[in-house]
Order: sequence, then structure tokens, then C-alpha cells
Amino acid sequence: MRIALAVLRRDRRSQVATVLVALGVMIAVSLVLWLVAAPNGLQARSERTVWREVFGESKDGAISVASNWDSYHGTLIQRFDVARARPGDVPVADGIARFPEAGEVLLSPALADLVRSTPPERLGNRFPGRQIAELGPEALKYPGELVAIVGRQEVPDGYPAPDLRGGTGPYQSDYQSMLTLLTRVGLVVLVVPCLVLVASAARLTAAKRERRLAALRLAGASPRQVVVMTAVETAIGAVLGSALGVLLAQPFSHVTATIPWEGGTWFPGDFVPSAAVVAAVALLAPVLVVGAAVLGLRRVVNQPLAAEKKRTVRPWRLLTIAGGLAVFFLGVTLAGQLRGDNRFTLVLLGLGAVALALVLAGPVVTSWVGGFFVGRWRGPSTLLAGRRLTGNPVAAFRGSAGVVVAVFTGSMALTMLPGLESQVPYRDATWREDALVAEQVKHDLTSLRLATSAPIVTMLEGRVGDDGHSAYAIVGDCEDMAKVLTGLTCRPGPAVYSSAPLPSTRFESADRETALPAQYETRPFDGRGRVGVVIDRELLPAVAGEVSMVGVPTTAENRDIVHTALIGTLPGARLVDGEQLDLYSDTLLADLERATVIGLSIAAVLGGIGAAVAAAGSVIDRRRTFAALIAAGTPIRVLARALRREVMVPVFAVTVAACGAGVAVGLGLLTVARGVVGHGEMPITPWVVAPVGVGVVVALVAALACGPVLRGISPRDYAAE
Amino acid sequence: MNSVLAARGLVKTYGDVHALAGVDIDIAAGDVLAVVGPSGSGKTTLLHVLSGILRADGGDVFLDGRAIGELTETGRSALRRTEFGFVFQSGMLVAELTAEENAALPMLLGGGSREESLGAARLWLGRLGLEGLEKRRPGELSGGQAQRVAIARALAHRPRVVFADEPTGALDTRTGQEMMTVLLQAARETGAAVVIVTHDKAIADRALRVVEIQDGRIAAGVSA
Ligand SMILES: Nc1ncnc2c1ncn2[C@@H]1O[C@H](COP(=O)(O)OP(=O)(O)O)[C@@H](O)[C@H]1O
Ligand SMILES: [Mg+2]
Repeated sequence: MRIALAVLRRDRRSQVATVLVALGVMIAVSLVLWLVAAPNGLQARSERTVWREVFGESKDGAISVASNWDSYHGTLIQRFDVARARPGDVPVADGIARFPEAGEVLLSPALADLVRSTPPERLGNRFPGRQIAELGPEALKYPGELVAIVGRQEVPDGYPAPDLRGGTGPYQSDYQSMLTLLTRVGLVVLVVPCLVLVASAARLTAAKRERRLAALRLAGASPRQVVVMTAVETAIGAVLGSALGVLLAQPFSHVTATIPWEGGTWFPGDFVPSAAVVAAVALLAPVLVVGAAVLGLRRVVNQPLAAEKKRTVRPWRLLTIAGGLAVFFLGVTLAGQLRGDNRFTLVLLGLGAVALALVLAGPVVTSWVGGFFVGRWRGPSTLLAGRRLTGNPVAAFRGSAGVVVAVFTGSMALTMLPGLESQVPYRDATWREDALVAEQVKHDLTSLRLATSAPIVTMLEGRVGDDGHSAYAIVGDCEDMAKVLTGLTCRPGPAVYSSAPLPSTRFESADRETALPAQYETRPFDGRGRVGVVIDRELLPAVAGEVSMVGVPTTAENRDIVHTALIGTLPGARLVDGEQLDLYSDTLLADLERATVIGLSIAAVLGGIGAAVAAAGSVIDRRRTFAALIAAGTPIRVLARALRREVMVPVFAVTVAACGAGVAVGLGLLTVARGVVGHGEMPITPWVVAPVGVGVVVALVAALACGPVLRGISPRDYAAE
Repeated sequence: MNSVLAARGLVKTYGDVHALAGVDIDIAAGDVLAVVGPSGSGKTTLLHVLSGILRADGGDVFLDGRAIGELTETGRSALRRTEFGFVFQSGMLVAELTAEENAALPMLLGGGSREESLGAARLWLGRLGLEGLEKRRPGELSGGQAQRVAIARALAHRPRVVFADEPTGALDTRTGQEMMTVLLQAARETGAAVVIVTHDKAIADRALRVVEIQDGRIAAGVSA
């Protein structure tokens, strides 16, 4: 113990290694804490918004609530129309001042600002009434969220609820599972390069330490003393790093809070992990690192001065790739039959298996490529690199493991993203893009007609056909409906417009049943949306005056005004606005892309640092040999070229394999996602190979780290130690 | 005497340590010179300066009358690669290369072709009694065998001078003596001069000449 400390105080290489161990552990700990805390952020969000999950609870509630999505200039607004069902106190959640009576509204601060700075007929009138308070942060998902609670006399389509407090407990949305999945994947992708970094750093001293400890052993130190010395040296770095990592996680969580997810950023407190988790991670990290270092020393302790032997790897390791993929696809298949979190765990296990298999198989590929070089070298650098790769493939590959895992994940992500893109809620092509349509309209339309001069198209929805076989149909005036519906071309005279022959003449709307006349004309209808049949009103006189939908063709000029008028005058009606759907799917994709880019950038940088340290370490390990070569007149240029080749070649070979595995796994995951979300194309873009390029560039930069280390070697160092 | 390598007034200091304090030496083709002296007397420093690994602070070394102190680092590196051969204490072979590749390395680094270099290396390994071991790695050779590979490596490109710093330091007495026999005989065949640093009296006795160094000066020059 005292010897270890004394050595540390004097030896620069031990110090460098300790600092690097500390750095690696620090980054690893803060990353793990960060990724562990991300689901916490979601938890915090859903706890704050639990008051919004009030549906389907009670049969007769104290209040009635309708929740709707709305949007203004590209930002989603969530609105709640509420009405009291009976007198009495209505409990509310934190952040909500009190239950708004009819004619009172509560707006989130950001929405209140927006309303103040916008003409009322464009936005403010959507929330009619007196603003009694702003919603506090305790009731908001994220800072700047646009939320409104509008008090009404009655909410016709509302759900009954006991209060505005919630209490069903937070539910798991797809979004939440998605982020949890991403953080788990991130955990693997980011922690592997950290481990490489720590392992390479610990190895920096290993060659020297092994020799020194072997000497100590020969001098009669007991194996225990030897192990204790190593443990102390490593532990100092690891504990230091762990402590710094915990400290670093604090500012880190604030940075994370500025990364948008699901439309908004986070409150600073959202990402603070629980104390128990922090303690566990902070303790576990050094224990693992020290454990690994002690295990690594077993060889020295057991057989002092063991001769350096050729270390071979057996090709069975390659089978692990097949095995990993098998585990993965088995997991995917099983996952298809499971529900909930277990499904993701299974998929993650498969992912881990594939990543592990890649790392195990990497040395085999490395050694093959080395063998190829050895077979056909012309110059000494190719020979040196090739022999190194075949002679010690594990060591040659070790440094690039992080890069390889990052490339694997990158290709996987790039395979999946376009696939997901084709999966996210598709744009409903029923209505024209410039049309705004209100569904579930049971209101008097007088006030709407007063509020806007735009043409108003009234429609009645229903079904044509028998119980077993029917088509979605709308009834109205063809010339009018053509202004809002896609694919409708009218001709004079009453007719049925249909894309297929009608199953029967029976027409059924929400509260009435009638039938088409025996004789009517059928004309083609080319709608690409939900509507299959359009019927001229004259053909169904029994329902001629009824309306359940209102459509308005708009211009860029009056779109906001019409939107506001529809919402303001038809409380509780559902507004169909293509913009919202697009917004939602754009947000989802942007979130995924951002998460991927952030994760992969960190992984690439970490992988690069790990590879650089490993490369530098491999030079230091062989310092005496290189010194002897330099003394005997080898140009540093030649050695540097050989070393670069040594680092680059396995990275290139294995990243290509990793890219292939990533694409395969990505397609597999898409299949699972398809089981969840629906159908879509499987587009593979040439971009999936981009991570290979990035990986090679990162490795090249890392390989350049050899240069300074090599130049730092003096030809007289061959006699050192 | 027609000297290949000559040193005049060599001075080398580390801070206030005078590792070399004015050394003159002449080495002729075929010469075998042993440098002896107590530990820390400056033997290794002398060898490094003579072979161009270190640059002298004062005086200079002349190869065929050319001052090597005036060469650049690259120039001296090329000189070491082509004109000199080196045998280190524990072989210092490249662990991943086979015996023949290790022996061929200086020629390959000097721009020799694969066939030519490996051919010469095999020839030398055979001459040094290592046939059949060409494909072994250093880890699979005994200390004496590894040192013979090192000798083959030092001589395969036919250098003018072979430098050896404590070449028998890691060997037992008998293997050390055998190695000396091999080294001296091989040098005689190529006409190379040999400079051996050693603190072993029995090894020094094998040389044609012995110089003793003390505190960076030649204390006694003994000609055989
Ligand atoms: N790199 C160096 N820095 C400082 N002093 C050195 C260095 N190399 C050698 N010396 C000193 O120079 C003297 C001669 O060293 P050296 O030539 O190695 O002696 P020998 O080989 O005879 O044991 C010693 O006192 C040694 O401490
Ligand atoms: Mg010495």
C-alpha cells in the first residue's frame, strides 16, 4: 500500500494512467446517471400532468371534461373544456388555481403571452372568458407548454370525471416507452466506449506494472501484497473519477433539460436521479474497475515472468455473431407475443447479445485481415501491422470496440429512422389541405356564420350498407363538399358518388335510419381518405336538415380566424386540421433524430478517445521494442505508418461487419415496431453505411495519437525500466 | 592503422555529470573492441555517441573521415540503418515477427525487397545454427537462440560496425561465451568491426583490444 502510493507520487506514467482511469470512470458515471435519470424526467412530467388523465374513470362525475389538440402557427395547444355537473367543491391539482366556472379560463404562461400579443379573432377567442389565473409549472409538462382550461356552461361530448386532480396514476404512453428504450440502448452504446477507455487506461501501466510486480514476486512479495498494490493504484483513480462523475452529473442534468422532447424542454429538476441510484452507481463503478484490474493481474500473480506467447483466437468466436443474431431474432419473435415493458427488455437483451457478439468476433476478423497482410506484404509497415494483428488480435482490436459498437448502433438507427418515418401517423388525405373541418357538431351554426364570412359547408356523416358490410358516407351538397373533400368531381343533378358499387341502399346516421330511392345515378368518386361514398342531399330528404360536420375552405389569410371561430362557436367539437397531425409526427421524428444524433455523437467522441488512449497505450506497451528499432535506424515515419495501419485495419474490417449487423437488427426492430404501429415500407437508404465512414475517420484521428507518443520515445529507452 | 570509425575528444554531459570527458578512439575494419568499466562510468553513453544515437556535446565521431555530428537526425538514422548493426541486451526482437522477419527487418527498412531480405536473413540464421527455427517467434526461442537471431539481424545487411551493449547480460556464462563465439566468427566473415560494452571480464578477454573507462575517461587502453 505504501509502496503503491510512493510509486504513484514518483512515476509519471502511473500518474497519466491514474488520471485517465479517473477520466474514464468520471465520464462513465455521469453518463450512466444521466441515462438513468432520463426516465425520471418522464416520470416527473407525467406526475405533473396526471390531472389530464381523467377519462373513463367514473360513470357520474362532478364535472365533465373534453380534451382536444389544437395548433397555432406550428405549435400544438392542448385545451380542456370543463363544465360542472353539480354544485360543490371541485378538487384541483397543484398549479391549477381553482376550478374555472363557466366564462372563466386558465392559460399557461406561454399561451397567455401568445394570446396577449395576437389579435383576439386569430387566437384569443378560442378561449372565451375571463382569465382568472395562469397555470403553475406544477401543472405543466414542460416550460413554455401551451395549455388552456376553459370553463363552460356544459360540455356536450365531455367525459365525466370526479375532479381536476387525476389520480389514476401516470400511464405509459408510446412516447415514454420510446424514450426508455432509447436510454437503455444509449446505456449500452455509451458505456461500452467508457469501459474501453477505462480498460485502456488501466492497461497503460499494465505492461510496466506486470514486469515490476513480477520482480516483486521474485523478490518474495506475497500474491496478496501484489494484488493490494494494484488495487490501490487503480482505486485511487476510480474513486476520484466516480466522485467527479457525480459532481459532473449536476451541471449535466441542466444541459439535458434544454434538449427538447415531445415538443418542449424540461424543468431543471426533472433529471435529478434519486439519491439511492446515485450512491449505487458511484459505489459500483470503482468496484467494477478495481475488480477488472485485479482479475487482469491474475496471470502475473500466478506465474511470475511468464514468457510472452503468441495469443491466438479461435474462429468459434465468429459463431457468436450468428448466435447473437439468433438470440436477437428469437427475442423479437417472442416480443411480438408479449405486451408492455417485457417486450422491450427482451429486444434489449437481443441487442446486447448482438453487440457482445460483435466485440467477441472482432478479434477473429482482425486476425484474418492481419493474415491477409502477412501473406502479401511488400514493405515493412505492412508486415509489422499484419503480424501485430495476427499475433495479438485481442489487443489490436480492444481499442476499437467502442467505435464498432457505435457504428453498429448508427447503422441500426439509420435503418430504422426512415422506416419509422413511414410509420408515424400518416396524413389523412380525406380533406383538402386548405380545409378546416369540425366533427361531432351538434350546435346551432348561427354564431359561426356571424363570426366569419367564409363559405360554410354543412355535412351529415353516416354509413351506407348492411350491418355486415357498410361504407363510410357523407351527405351534403356536392358543389359545396367539393370545396373541402379531395377527389370529388361534381356534375349537375342529384347523384351518389362512390368508388365502389353500394352494398345496399340503407343509410344510417347517428340517430336516424333512412334509405336511398330505388332509382339513382352513381358517379365515380376518387377519394383517398376515410370517406367512401358521397350522397347528394336531395336523394335523402328524411335527413336533409341534419348536420354533424362543418367544413370551411380557408385561405392563408383567414385560416387562423376561421380556426378561432370554429373553436369559439362550436365548443366541444373535434377540429380536423392536417397541420396538427403533421406537427405531431414531425415532433416524434425530430425527437428521435435528435436523440440519435446526440447519442451517436457522444459515442463517436468517446469511442475516439478510447481508441486514441488504447493506441497510445499499445505504443507505450512496446516502448522498448520501438526504442530498439529506432536506435537501429528505423525511421519514425515507417513505424508511425505501421501503427496507423494497425489501428485502422481492424476498425475498417469490423465496422463493415458491424454496419451489416446494424442493418439486420434495424430491420428486425422495424418488424417489431410494425407489429405495434402498423404497416409501412422498408426503405434502406445508402446512408446506412455512413457510420462506417465516420467510424473510420474517428479511428484515423485516434491513430494519429500514436505519432506524438512515438516521437516521445528516445532511442535510448530500449534499456529503460 | 586505417580506421573505419574514429572519435576525437568526445564530451557528453548530463547537467553537471560528465558522462564522457574527452575520449579518443580508433576502430579499424575487423577490429574487436571491448569497452569495460564500472557501472555508471560512461560505457553506454560512449556506445550511443559512437553509433550516432546521441550527438556529442564536444568533439566528434568520424566514419571514413566524415563527421557524423554534422548529419541531421534523419541522416544519422539512415547511417545506423545501413552502416551499423546493433545487438541489445535481451535481444529486443519484435515479439510478433518470426525469427527470419526479425533478421530481415533492417534490410526491409533500408528498402530491400521481400525476397532478397528474407533470403539473406535465412542464410544468416542457417549460418548461426538456427535452421528450422526461422518461423518461430521470439517467445518460442531460448535466450541464447533469441540472441543469435539478434546477431543475424545485426549482420544480415553487412554493416561496417556492430555495436553490442551488454549482449550477454541476460544469458548464463556458457551461453554467453557461445554467443560471443558466434558473434565474433560472423563478424570476421563480413569484415565488420565489433564494439562490445560489457562488465564481464571473461567476455572482454575474447576481444582483440580492451579499453577501460572510468568517470568518462579512458583509464587504460590495452592492445592485444
Ligand atoms: N539520460 C541521462 N540523464 C542524466 N544522466 C544520465 C543519463 N544517461 C546516463 N546518465 C549518467 O551518465 C553517467 C554514465 O552513464 P552510462 O553511460 O549509462 O554508464 P554505464 O553504461 O557505464 O553504466 C552516469 O552517471 C549516469 O547516471
Ligand atoms: Mg550501461
